[in-house]
Amino acid sequence: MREFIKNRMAFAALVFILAILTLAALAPFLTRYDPASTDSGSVLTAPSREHIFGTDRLGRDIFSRIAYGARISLAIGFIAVGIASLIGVLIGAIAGYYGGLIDYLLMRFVDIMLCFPVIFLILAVISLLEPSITNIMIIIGATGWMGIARLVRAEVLTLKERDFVSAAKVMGAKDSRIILRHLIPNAIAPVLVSATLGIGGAILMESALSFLGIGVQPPIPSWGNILMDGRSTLGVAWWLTVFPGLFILFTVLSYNILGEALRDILEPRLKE
Amino acid sequence: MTILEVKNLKVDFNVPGGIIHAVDGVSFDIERGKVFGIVGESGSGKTLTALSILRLISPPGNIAGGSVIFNGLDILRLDEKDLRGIRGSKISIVFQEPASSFNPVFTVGEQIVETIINHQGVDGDKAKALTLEYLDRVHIYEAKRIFYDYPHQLSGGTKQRAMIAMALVNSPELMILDEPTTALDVTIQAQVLDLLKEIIERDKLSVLFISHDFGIVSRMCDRVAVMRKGSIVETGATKQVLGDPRNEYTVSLLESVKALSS
Amino acid sequence: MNMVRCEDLKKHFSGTAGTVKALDGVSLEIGKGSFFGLVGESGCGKTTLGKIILGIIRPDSGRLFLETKKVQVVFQDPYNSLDPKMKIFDILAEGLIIQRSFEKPSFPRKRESKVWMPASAGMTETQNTKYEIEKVLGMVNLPNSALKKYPHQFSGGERQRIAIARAVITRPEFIVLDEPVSSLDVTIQLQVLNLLKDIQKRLDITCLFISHDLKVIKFICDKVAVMLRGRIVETGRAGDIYSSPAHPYTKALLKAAFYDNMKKYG
Repeated sequence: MREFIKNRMAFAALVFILAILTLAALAPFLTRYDPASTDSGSVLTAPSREHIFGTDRLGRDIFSRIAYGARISLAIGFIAVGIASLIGVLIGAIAGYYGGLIDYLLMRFVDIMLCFPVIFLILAVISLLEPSITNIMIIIGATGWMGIARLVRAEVLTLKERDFVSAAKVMGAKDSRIILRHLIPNAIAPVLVSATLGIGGAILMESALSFLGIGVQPPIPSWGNILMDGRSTLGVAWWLTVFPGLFILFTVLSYNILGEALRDILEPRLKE
Repeated sequence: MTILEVKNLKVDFNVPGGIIHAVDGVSFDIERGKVFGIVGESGSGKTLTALSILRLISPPGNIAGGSVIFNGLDILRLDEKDLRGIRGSKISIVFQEPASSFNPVFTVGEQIVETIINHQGVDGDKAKALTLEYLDRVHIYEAKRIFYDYPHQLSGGTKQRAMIAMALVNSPELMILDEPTTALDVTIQAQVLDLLKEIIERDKLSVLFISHDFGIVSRMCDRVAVMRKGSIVETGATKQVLGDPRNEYTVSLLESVKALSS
Repeated sequence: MNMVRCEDLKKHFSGTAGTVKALDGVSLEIGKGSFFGLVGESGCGKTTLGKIILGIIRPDSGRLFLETKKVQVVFQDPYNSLDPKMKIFDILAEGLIIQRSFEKPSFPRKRESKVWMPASAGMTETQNTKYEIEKVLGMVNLPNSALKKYPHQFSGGERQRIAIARAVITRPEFIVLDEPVSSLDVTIQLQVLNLLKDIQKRLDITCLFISHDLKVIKFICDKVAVMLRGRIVETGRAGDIYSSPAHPYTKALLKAAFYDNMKKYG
């Protein structure tokens, strides 16, 4: 019974994510209005047939902004997680493979990074640099690799004792070959799970930053800064808050469910 | 006098690709006081057959059909309470890996005492005395010390002897031995097999002996069944099956064994 | 002429249970072309000795002489010795790729250079790789269709054959086999052993065969060394050891191994 419900949720999550991705990819074809075009005639209008999600203070169509915003928010999510995975996999594999002092130093570095309250670190960095989309991607990625590093290190620790690694060593394989060709491909499963779950986290982080005004800067739409706009008009224009909020909620939820489903598929030993 | 009658036993496995008939209609009888062997290669279904007798099959496997008649009752149709009454007392089992039947968190003594109390209802002191007696019977020379040891502190051979003691302590009518010496060193194997032979003969136990090793089966069993891919291909007295095999699979199996034994 | 010579090798491991003397002064000679068996029960140190000879572990003291650098290995567990994420083609090609990287200069690096290997004059590197792989696959009686598959698609015996193919493709002069047939069914054991015998003769490779199984060692080895608790207690020609063992431990091992006296069903 539980299996059935879990499977249905995973399927629903997958469908939702595909829908959002389609929305983002085909935004120009699915929206009627340019997300940047203002219309002082229809300022703060409630959802109607012309504007299905309503309009904001400048008369911009919310649905278009959410659709185009999806591009930004999702891209940031993917690339930030990509950066985090790259850093995490390399650090984890090197620490796990070499052990000793290298492992010790790298893991202490991980510990230090984990001690930072990430939000404040990001706030500090962003306030020093300009809040460009690239910077946001990099900083979210650079502060989210630690979990992956630990996971990969743990996998590599067991993997390096396996016979096929010893066989490669006897054949004369260099360390780089062993790490890149043998260890990392076999350690990738938990990384996929972690990365999928991480996408949700990255999207949330971006939304928070944009909401605070130091993320994606207007007029470029992102789910977070639409929320920011809606803050002051919450009482009169609920649609400015509710719709982007719901999108963030369901997207992050879907990625989390998908990540859990991936975990069930890729790590069956934990199932029992 | 038949003590166990297995009729058309079937065990299926539900895997993504479909259903695997791991045990596909297996039938045999075990005579009281005799040792019946099942020999086969890996994947033949011999261990699953042994586990089915005590209904120890867990998902994705399930017992799909047949009957296992013990003392007039079909074990496969008993309710949980009666089944628990049989397991560990009337029918006991010794596994290949002693690690899997001993709980690492409790001492060896505690675990044997527990099974005695569960099945015989005697008090703690009597149970302890009985435990020590049986540990001694399986030639564990420092029974008093081993009683207080944890499983991981024992050597493979000692652990296996302790498991045999645990299997005997409730005076079972039928003992199932699933590759009891495969995980042991060769010299220890010989010792444990000698021990088993001694106990089986002295207590006139009825035994189901599972092995992949023809040589061991030839020493220990009165009758033997050869299993292949879920079915029994040949049954008979050990001397006859080994000396004059009728089935071609048995013949090829024996040839490999003899080639390595010469 | 010796392929391997060990002088008084010692190795200990310290763990939570105290210090274990894995090797307590082991001296050994393996002659060129021989099929040398190293037999003993678990914990005797045979695997440790094998790993030291292979260079996977360093000894604490003592000396090791290897006549060649061309060494390969076959491990026991067919489910662990092949990279589960690699296709058979790549598993077999890896040895060649590594070997070539030693022989080629790094710069300039031509895309397809002619590699000198016996019977391959005129082939490009890619063609040569394919040729050698198919040849070695044929030696172990596996079809070319196996190349596209992954290890999990094969049985234990087939995987061991792939491991053997991987070991011989670089034409080593010395192979260490650590319990190569212990995980296999008896009928498959016989097949793989016959295959090993055949390959060893054909390619004239010196082999060190480590096993706990006296029957298997008797079947395939010409010289045998018996190990007990980190020491070699007896060495000699296989025939001699089996017919007239000198050391009491060897006698006990023989008695236990041939416990079944299947001979009477001969």
